[in-house]
Amino acid sequence: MKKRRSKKKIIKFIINYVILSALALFFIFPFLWALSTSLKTSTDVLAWPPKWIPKPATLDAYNYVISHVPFVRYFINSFIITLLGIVFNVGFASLAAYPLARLEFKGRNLIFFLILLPMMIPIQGGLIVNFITILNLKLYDTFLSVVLPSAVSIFGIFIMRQNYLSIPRDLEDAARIDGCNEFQLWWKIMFPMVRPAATALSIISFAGFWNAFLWPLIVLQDQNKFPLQVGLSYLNNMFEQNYRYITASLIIAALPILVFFFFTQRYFIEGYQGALKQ
Amino acid sequence: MKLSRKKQTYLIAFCFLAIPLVLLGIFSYYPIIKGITLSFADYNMLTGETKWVGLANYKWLFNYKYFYISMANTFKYLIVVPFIQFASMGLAVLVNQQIPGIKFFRTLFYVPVITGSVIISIAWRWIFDVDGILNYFLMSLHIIEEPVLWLLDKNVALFSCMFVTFWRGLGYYMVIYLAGLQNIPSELYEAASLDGASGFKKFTKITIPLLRPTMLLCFILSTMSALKVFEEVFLLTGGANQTTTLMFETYNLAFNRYEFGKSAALGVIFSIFLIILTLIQFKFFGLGGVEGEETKK
Amino acid sequence: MKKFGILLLMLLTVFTVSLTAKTVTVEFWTLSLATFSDYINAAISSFEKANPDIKINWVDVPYDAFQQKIISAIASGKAPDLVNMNTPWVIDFVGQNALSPIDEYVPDVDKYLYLPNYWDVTVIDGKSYAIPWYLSPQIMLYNRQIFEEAGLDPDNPPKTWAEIIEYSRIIKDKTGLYGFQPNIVAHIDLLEEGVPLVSPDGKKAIIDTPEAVEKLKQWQLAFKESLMPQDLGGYQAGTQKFAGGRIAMFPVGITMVKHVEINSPSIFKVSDVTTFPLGKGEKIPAGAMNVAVPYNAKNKAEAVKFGLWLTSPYWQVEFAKIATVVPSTKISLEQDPWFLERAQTDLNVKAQLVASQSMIYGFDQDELGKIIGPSKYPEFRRILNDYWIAAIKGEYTAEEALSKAEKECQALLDSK
Repeated sequence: MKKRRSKKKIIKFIINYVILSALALFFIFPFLWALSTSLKTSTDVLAWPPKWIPKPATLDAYNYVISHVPFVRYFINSFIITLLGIVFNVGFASLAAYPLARLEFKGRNLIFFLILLPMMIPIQGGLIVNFITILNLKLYDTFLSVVLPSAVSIFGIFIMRQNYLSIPRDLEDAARIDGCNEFQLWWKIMFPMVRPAATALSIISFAGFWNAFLWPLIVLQDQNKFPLQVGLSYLNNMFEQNYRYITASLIIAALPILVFFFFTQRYFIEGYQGALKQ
Repeated sequence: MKLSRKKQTYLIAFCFLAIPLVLLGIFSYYPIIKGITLSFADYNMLTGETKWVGLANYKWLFNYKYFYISMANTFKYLIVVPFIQFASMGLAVLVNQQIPGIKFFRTLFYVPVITGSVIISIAWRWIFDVDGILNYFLMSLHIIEEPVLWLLDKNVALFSCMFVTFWRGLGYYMVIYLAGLQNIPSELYEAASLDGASGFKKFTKITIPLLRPTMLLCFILSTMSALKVFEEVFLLTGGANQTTTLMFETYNLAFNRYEFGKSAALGVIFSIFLIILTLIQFKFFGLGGVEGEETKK
Repeated sequence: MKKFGILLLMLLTVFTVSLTAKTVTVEFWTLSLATFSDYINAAISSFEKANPDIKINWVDVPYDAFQQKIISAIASGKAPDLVNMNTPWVIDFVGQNALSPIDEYVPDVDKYLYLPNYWDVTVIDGKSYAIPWYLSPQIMLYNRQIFEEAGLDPDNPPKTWAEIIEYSRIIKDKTGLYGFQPNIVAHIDLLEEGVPLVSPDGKKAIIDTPEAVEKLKQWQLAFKESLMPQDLGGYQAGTQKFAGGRIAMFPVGITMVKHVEINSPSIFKVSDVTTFPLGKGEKIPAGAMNVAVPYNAKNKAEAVKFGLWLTSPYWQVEFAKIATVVPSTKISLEQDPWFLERAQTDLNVKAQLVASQSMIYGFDQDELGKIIGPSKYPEFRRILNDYWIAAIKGEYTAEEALSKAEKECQALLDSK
């Protein structure tokens, strides 16, 4: 009896992993193609039928990219921009969402609706208008200018508000009875309670700022301030599209986010959990 | 002098909202208002030359063949929503197991979400190639006899783009559904098991109902995202073969034809659709908060 | 006291001289040419040496972001002084009054150095708006190995589209491979056949002509018989297929030769080049890159001075040594021993020579934009291409498609 049950379990186990692996293949195959191309020698990049496993595999492309692109500097720049972005996003969203969820005043829902509105109004040319604004604010060619237009995340305000709404009233009442003023209440009690949403927002912001390409290119002039995606785009030129170098650079740029997601998954999920609590 | 309770609340709310609202005002609202204003003009993006033409841009749009084509395509794109949603729900259930290595799989499923446009463009174009892998596969399995023109045939091209949107979005919603699933206390499932409920019954009677709030959030996000689709069209077909969408047309009018006023007018019409649709969804589903608060009063 | 007076006088002189000999900085943007920094910097330093009071500030902009960046710059008043642009963009920007005419800064002597058909492409309403720089002409790459397998003579490649179709049939028959992959763009195909598309005054659409019908029928045939891949994919798909050894002939711009070399050396070894097939109009497309001056640039005269320097025959020929391009100047590489020697062993150089020699037929495929105007030109092309491709796929007969296209294009030209 026991043997049959454990045999069933093993089969279920295997099927599970087979399904998971098949699905994983479905999701990452373009990545696999990029990885495989980046490890090829120049002979076989476009051979047909395509050779999936490069023989011989070589790190040539990676060496070239790393030695021709000031990687460390671009990495640091991306890091600074992303950090700034996350701080602004989480900071402003947790500030703005608080009164919209916990304070009672007329016009509260209207303001919330107005905040959501820009997501529903797709008008082109925002880039150009914002560029002129940045120039007028004398912020051209600064890290601040890269981050400022996206400093307030509307989606962030949305999920923060959701998270605030789920905090039980008694906590608040107890604090007020203890004599807290509004700001202490927020800083000591409310804000720590929305850590889940804050973490989820951090991860979303991370991806957004890390991958940014067009806006930083428009608003930065000093090559030493370029973030990773901008710096890597210079590997492409009018004449030579070397697939090996392009894919190698894309993989290098994508790794941080994947690693970050892998290790912080739990917080990501908890974050959404907090936002979804009724 | 002490302010009234009401005035105090306003003041505090103001303190919290001030800076975010100012930033939104400058970087989100100002371009929008400028755009809406310029929809009534013949505007030269480069020199700033403005010629007011009243409703001429709107009138022109109503006679523009691609206005209707792009609108039809945009609404057609909504087909993708139920597919993404139910598939990601299924995925979430699959990855909710606490088996070794599941974190690794979750990360892999999330990869399309953060894959950059360059790889998407090269990889998917290659797959959809007439002599590409997809046709090769389907023909060797005898599912089709002739190669399909995935990106060229106007009856199929839009669906090819939708498939890529599907592929890209699954991981994103999977994570949200996963969170929703983990919000469901396991005691409920244990109690149901004790009562002798089957896996299917547990799913329909416990999982689905308690997943409702997550579903509402995801459906709304997914719908908005589908209606605003741009990248997949831009990267895979460049709007050719009747695949243009509203979002793509606004880009096309502004940057390929330098008709910024017409692009803005289209943007305005498009926005009205989006706002109405979102309001309907909010009212209908009552996503906790806006609708909920009003009824609480 | 006297000594002090002399010192003061000297200081004053230096001061006033330095004021009058003010250095002007010209901001110069290039389109995705960062990897040629050695070359560009060489051209810049030689210019700066010859012109001590002009400094060049070079900025390279990646292709994907170029349009947004230049529009933002011009719109905000922070425009570069000299900007590298392709012809369609020059024409579009002139249509938006965003570029400055440059005639007053260009001596006739210098204008004479350029191929007239390429200088004139950016002359609108009698005013010159850009200096032509490097050209990317079309040639035809072909795979000698496939030719041999099919029993065709690799030293005798086809010269016209009709011959290409003949060869393709044989290749398909003997090897099962595709004969060729063209980059099908309706307006270019038609111009190559001598179909004017529009009357010189821009008022009448001239599309439905016997030559147009014949050409469209040719494509329909090639499609039906599978002589070319049925995805009508552009040059990227074509490069991948050619580099993968799946097509025999590839009419394409010379820059793609390098792509094949980099991404598929084995195919490159068995490849050869010949002239682009000549249609009835005896025109071979060759897109041009130019340099132009935004209308609100601050240092126009100096910008043009540098522009003429950079595009001078010497510097263009030097550029051709490191990039697969052809100069837009009358003095070109056909007589240059550097190229003649290398053409024997380097296919890229052979391609350049072949291309250079075909420049008597050269035309810029977007010169039509001038006549039709930037607000209607993209739509005109789109209407034409939609019907063209639909007909090739068999959704319309050739006559139907062209007649419909002409009607719709006429309506477009007639509209406001």
